[in-house]
Amino acid sequence: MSGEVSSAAPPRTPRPRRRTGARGLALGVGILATVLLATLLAPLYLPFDPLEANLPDQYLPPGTDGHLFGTDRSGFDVFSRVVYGARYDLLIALIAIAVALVVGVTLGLLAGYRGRATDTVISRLLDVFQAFPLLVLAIAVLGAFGRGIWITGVVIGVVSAPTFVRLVREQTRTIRDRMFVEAARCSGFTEVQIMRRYVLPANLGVIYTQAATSAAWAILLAAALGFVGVGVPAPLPEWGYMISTGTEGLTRGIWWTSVFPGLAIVLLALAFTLIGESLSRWADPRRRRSR
Amino acid sequence: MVGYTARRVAWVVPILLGVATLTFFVSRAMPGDPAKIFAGSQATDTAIAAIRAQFGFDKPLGVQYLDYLAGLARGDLGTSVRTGHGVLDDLMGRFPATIELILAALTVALVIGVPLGVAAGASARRGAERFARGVSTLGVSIPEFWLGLLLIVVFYSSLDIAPAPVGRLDIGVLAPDGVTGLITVDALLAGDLEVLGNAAGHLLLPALALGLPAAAPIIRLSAEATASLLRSDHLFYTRAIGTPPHVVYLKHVLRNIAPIVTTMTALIFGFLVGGAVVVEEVFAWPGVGLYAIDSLHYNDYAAVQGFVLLAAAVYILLFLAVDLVNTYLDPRKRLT
Repeated sequence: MSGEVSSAAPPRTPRPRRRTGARGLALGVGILATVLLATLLAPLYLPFDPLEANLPDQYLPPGTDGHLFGTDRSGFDVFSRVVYGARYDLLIALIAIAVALVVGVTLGLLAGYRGRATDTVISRLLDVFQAFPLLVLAIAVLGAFGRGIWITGVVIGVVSAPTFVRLVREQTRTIRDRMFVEAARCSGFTEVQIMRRYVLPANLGVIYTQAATSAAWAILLAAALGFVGVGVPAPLPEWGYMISTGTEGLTRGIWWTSVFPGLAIVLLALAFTLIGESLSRWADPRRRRSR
Repeated sequence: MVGYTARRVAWVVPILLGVATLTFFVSRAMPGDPAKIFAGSQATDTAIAAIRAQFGFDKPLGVQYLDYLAGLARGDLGTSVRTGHGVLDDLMGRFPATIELILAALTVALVIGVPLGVAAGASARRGAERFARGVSTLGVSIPEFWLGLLLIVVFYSSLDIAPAPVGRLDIGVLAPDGVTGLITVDALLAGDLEVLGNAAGHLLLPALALGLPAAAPIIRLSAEATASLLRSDHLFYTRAIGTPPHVVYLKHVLRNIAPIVTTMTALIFGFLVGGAVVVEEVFAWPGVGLYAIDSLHYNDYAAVQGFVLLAAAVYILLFLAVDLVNTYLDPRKRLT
């Protein structure tokens, strides 16, 4: 920076950078599309059945007998299970985001647009909710209502919703009294119409960004729940659960059973994080300019 | 200011009440009967009924709830079905382990995060910024528990330079009597270097597993704060009069980003009391998180509720403290 500042230039001249995050977005979407295709087409090309145990082949190291990632305690092919497991973690993330969007955006719009009592009630509920250790709450709720892909997704969605509420509420409060919203009010639009046609679109940038970031978080949380043993039920190849069963041989040097599913988690979470970061630069022109 | 403080402090009670209520009803919805688990598989029905009566599980739910709240008001968190001790005693006995772990993790996060963030924010070159961004992007995408397993594989199973990932000390090594309950600090105070080394060895891997991902937000925050600070008139002038770079960074930059980084660190601390749970599980670290997970498996209502309340209280109080300090330092915030 020091070299670029001449005596004529005012100190706040932005650095000449044009970074819109397009590359990060392309990388993120690329990873996501590859993972999606790989897992959906898995039955066509996987050499082993991800749900078929084969005890004699227990704990084969990676590369033996066509087992690219080795086999686990029950002789499951780790590669097949990692590829196949992507569909569960993706589905959980998808359900979670859908739930978080519906709950979070609705409450956020209501709180931000209505203000007054509605805002107070929603904000105070938010205070309570945010104080919770969310992972423990999710574990307790899943313990209470049973396990499964749908319930896991819904629980993660509910604990992710507060972030959306807060973001949408803040954004809505800043545009509530702007001219175009007031004009819509004068023209006799109903409250719901105004929120849907004028307030919601102004929120979309924030919402998309947070959706991608929350998806990454949902993947991590789903894995943690699976690891603790309350996520997706046992035989299904969910990554967190695979890691937890894989740890049995860990101290004996059997690393592949827990390392590969973890890498898959990192890859998918990374894809969503990259997408979220690129979208945030796209959604906020100030950040687009400065870095 | 006094009125504002009083209002904010007054809010803590209803929020904690909300947390307590929600936890109470969620934990009662869990299937399984804690009295049966406590009594063991050989117990007779009368024995189970006696235990149920002893813990008050035979009363109507509403009465149990009121009893629980009345207990809370007296500072009584109930009795753990699993350990047979008071939940408050259980939690207080284990809390130092969790605090030690979190403090160590935050140290890791700050030692890595602040220099990297400042360097990235200050550098005109793209490489540094991209590196810092890459590190923090990766940091938020790694599950802590898996990172912990990875560290165990590398440093325990393969290289054999870390102690077995079980607990805070080797078996046979006694924790020093100390006031803090943080074994490393107590050993240092007692001058017992052997115990200190042992405890630090056990602490290192879990602290890395928790601290490396926690460095991500600190890198990002300090990079952004540094970049915008360097564009300010204040720093422009400081540099223009020829202040040497080490003074610019050590005195002006660090001092100016300190409040925001401190705020972030406090919030991460509050978050980690609940967030350290899975890492405690991986390393069999005897903190409150491991206690909560074990209690969940036993449907130990009171213990789980106690942990949630503790985590929530720490989070709320830290948030409150940060908010009040910031408001005190920056009067503009008092208006909102």
